[in-house]
Amino acid sequence: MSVENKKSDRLKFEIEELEKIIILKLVGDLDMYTLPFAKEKIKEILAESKVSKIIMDLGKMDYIDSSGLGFFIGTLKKLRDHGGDLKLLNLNSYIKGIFRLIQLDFVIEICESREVALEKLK
Amino acid sequence: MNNCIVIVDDVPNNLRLLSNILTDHGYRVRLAPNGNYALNSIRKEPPDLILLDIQMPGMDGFEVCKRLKADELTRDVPVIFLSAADDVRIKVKAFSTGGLDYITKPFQVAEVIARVETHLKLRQVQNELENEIENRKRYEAMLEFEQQKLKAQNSQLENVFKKMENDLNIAGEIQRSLLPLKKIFQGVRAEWLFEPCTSIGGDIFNIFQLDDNNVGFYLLDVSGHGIHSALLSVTLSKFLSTDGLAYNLLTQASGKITSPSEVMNLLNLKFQLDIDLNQYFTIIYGIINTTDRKLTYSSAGHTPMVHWASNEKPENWEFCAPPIGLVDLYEYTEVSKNLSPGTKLVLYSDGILELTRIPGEDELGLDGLIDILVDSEGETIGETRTGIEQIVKNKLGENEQKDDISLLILEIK
Repeated sequence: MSVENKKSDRLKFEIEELEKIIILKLVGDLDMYTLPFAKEKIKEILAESKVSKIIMDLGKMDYIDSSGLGFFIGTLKKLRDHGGDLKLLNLNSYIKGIFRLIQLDFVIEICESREVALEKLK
Repeated sequence: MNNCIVIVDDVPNNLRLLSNILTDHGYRVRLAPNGNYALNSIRKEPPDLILLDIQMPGMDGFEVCKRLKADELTRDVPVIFLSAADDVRIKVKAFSTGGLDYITKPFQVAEVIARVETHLKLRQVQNELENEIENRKRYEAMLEFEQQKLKAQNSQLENVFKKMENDLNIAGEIQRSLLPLKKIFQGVRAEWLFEPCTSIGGDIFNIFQLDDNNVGFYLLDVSGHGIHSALLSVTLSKFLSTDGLAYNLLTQASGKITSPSEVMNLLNLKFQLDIDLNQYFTIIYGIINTTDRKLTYSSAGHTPMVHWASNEKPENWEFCAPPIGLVDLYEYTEVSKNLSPGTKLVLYSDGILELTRIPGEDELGLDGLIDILVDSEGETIGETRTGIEQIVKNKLGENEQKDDISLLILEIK
């Protein structure tokens, strides 16, 4: 079934752009139902702002399931295809635990602060 | 347009008098000097009202009225009788032949106008009512037609839905047919639970004899659930089988058994994440050498296997490695462990840990699962499996199942 409306009540986005770097804050749940909105948002960012460096702030995420984890890798691959990169920020201990367990922290860098992330992407 | 009135009377003075009164009040008037003339004229063009004299030579007013009432074309035109006789019997007859009213000669202008106006008004209201009824009938017929159409469409939809449901159930049967074929292997017993959240799911597992001394087993969980996950899980079960097909990853042409880490590397090579589908999977694959009770296994991002040796506490074996498809060219490793007789290994998908995400109640979690295992101490693995199935069913209750649930318990002889 296709998703008609392009907004979800369960996942919202706050976007900020700083020197050709997008800071995308995800607010809510990321699972197989809200995933299409997240993917659409990345597509939109790539198409509209022509920016391929993204910092994702997960400080306001309530829930992430396995589809959500795939989203980070998918986004990373997409951004690298465009010559960009992805950094993550503000992971809670639960998500950090999963990242460590499945060793995603080797692939996607988790940064201590926004300043560090910005510096690394410059 | 002005109402048209036909006046029928054999006395010219009466005709003239009535004609003057009515035309003065804005009516169109047609005159008829006798019954035959009147009937012809009225049939040719029915007026809105008829003033009909009773006493006429030849055909009298009663006869004219009877014929008018017998004719479909003229029966609805109101008739008011005119007569000099103020006789009750005549009046009664006038009404019984179909007249609506009666005016006695000599005429009073006010009375003629009042009666004419009243009957025209009544006629008009009656017409409007009839139209209204006609409209309603038409509307009801239309509604009925639309309802029938909707009903037909509904039953069509129902059929499509039933067919889809049927197809899904068949697909579910196919998927179930890929689960283990038997429970007893050389040196290992198995029990399992498979509860996809729809007819089919993204979980799948199996256990099989790799050769005389080795039993292989796996449990995998494709991200998401439903049809698209099931398609990948069914594909994977074909790659992870021992049916001797060319694409089987578990044994080589020489008959050599592929090691668990190598199986992971091969899977990771073949099933890299499709960015658009965002699909990947976690898996544990292990080989038990039943001669020396040695387990060698590898895990790709899967929830930890529970190892439970006899007379010891169950422990979960964490294994750090990414799910298949997420990290290109990752070098998977494997671990070897010696198993004592009676040791149980429990593999499961995270659906069972996430049970009851209902407000106010905690998820079952790994600790909850281990508690259930501890409580089942002394039971056969068949009984443990049945106990867990009951708990799963109770937890699910009326709630919608959020994710596929699968569980595989192995016991070493």
